[in-house]
Amino acid sequence: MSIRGVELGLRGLGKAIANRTILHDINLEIKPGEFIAVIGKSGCGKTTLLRLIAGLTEPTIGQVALDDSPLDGLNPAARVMFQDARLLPWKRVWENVALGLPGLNADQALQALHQVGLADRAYDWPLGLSGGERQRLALARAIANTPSLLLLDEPFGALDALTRIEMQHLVEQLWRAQGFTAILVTHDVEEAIALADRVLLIQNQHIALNLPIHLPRSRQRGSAEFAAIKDQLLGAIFGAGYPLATRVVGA
Amino acid sequence: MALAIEQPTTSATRPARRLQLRQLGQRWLPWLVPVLLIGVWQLSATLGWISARVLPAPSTILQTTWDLLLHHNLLGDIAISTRRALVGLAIGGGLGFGFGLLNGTFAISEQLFDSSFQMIRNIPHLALLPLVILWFGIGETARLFLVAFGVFFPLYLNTYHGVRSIDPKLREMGIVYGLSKWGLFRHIIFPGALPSILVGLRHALGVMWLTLIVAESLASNAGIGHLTMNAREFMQTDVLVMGIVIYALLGKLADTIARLIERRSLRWQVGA
Ligand SMILES: Nc1ncnc2c1ncn2[C@@H]1O[C@H](COP(=O)(O)OP(=O)(O)OP(=O)(O)O)[C@@H](O)[C@H]1O
Ligand SMILES: [Mg+2]
Repeated sequence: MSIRGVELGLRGLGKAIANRTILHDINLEIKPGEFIAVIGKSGCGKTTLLRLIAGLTEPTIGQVALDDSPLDGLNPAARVMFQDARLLPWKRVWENVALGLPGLNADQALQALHQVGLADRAYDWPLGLSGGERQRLALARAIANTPSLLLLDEPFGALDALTRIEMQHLVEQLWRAQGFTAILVTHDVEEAIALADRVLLIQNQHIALNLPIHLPRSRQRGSAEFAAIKDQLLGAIFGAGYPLATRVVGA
Repeated sequence: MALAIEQPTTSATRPARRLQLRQLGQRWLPWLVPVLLIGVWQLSATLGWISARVLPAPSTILQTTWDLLLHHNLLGDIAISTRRALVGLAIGGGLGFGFGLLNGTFAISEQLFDSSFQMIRNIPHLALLPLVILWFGIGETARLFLVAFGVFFPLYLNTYHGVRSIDPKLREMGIVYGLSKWGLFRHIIFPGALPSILVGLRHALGVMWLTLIVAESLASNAGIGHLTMNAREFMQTDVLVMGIVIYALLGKLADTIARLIERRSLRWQVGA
């Protein structure tokens, strides 16, 4: 039972905070069920873009369109998974999941926990969970009521490499099963290439690169195509100096 | 314990017994000094080293307590004092809690009230006693007013602080996950502020008894304070000491209850 993802349009979107332009003239159409990854240097405005789409801040100019109708206030379709898990320590694991469900539905919460492999911890307190389990729980909470838009803000940044790969697979699997539109902010270029249909690079307040990834899923990180795309992205981030610098280091 | 049981019995007996002794010691050792003190007190009184005027023997006090229970409705007096304490707590504490929530949540109400509360807080509330008598006379209203005034501040300050110290990121999460205003309060703000509120409650309970003792010994026609006042007039030291002990026990009881509530509602903090 695949749920249709939401269609998103960013139209001339701009945001200034305290008279400083963070984002300027962002234009982008996102198809229903598309998986977008957003990369860029720290402070370039990735989180700000996500908050605009979630309706947590108002754009200074332009608009966010949701299935072609302009967004006003909080985005009802969106669920956000934050970098810090933002769990409620005073609620049991299942209650944390049930938080965003109508009527605090326990069955639905357990179902979501089952999907992320955390069903056996349903009645524990969050303080007893490991870092990876906490993010799993946050993911379960985000997908529990089958949202049509999932916004992920560097959700795996704090995890170790192995757990991170595990979580990436999990997200991909859930995305395939549920068919939501996904926007993943990450600082990990490989993560972006492994998961996204399209990778956006934000630089100088706008989308500097909009790169579709046509590799078949599930993607092999060791493949030559994968490495070529990674080089292309890193080259775009660091400018012409990038391949040269790596060659010097490699020599 | 489990370790000792698994060992073969012959070698186990001695360490096991030592363990038992140590547990016994841990449980009973704290009681040794109080029991000794009471013993010495009893002995000194019996032997006439201390005059009964100054300090009657523990046995005499027990006897007096028994008499009062049977023939003078001591329980009724205790009930009256307890009721006064609780009504004062409900009024003052309720107001403190309410204003703490309001001022923690709404900027307007904070700007309106907080600095005034902070100023009034610096008045030692017992210093108001003469004024309160002037306003209300020496009746029940005066006593309740004083208790309510005293417990207002611990609850106000701690509730306010508890609400303010909730991580705004959690609040934002709640908003993204579609919680209503009431949902935010019920699931995030109140439970988040609860540890601080309970600290305020325990503090308020201490203030409550202290204020009540002062207010009751000023003028009362019933209650523990009334008993002790009469006792002073008739130089019944045993009744006086009994009154003091009852106040102490009531205070201890309140604190124990508060601590139980704390332990039950803050189970999540230990993660078990
Ligand atoms: N509330 C705010 N007040 C002032 N400046 C802000 C605010 N929010 C964001 N900014 C500024 O906007 C810029 C972009 O912030 P944003 O959090 O979107 O960056 P980011 O790309 O997510 O960075 P990172 O990768 O480090 O998370 C930063 O320079 C930041 O200082
Ligand atoms: Mg960010």
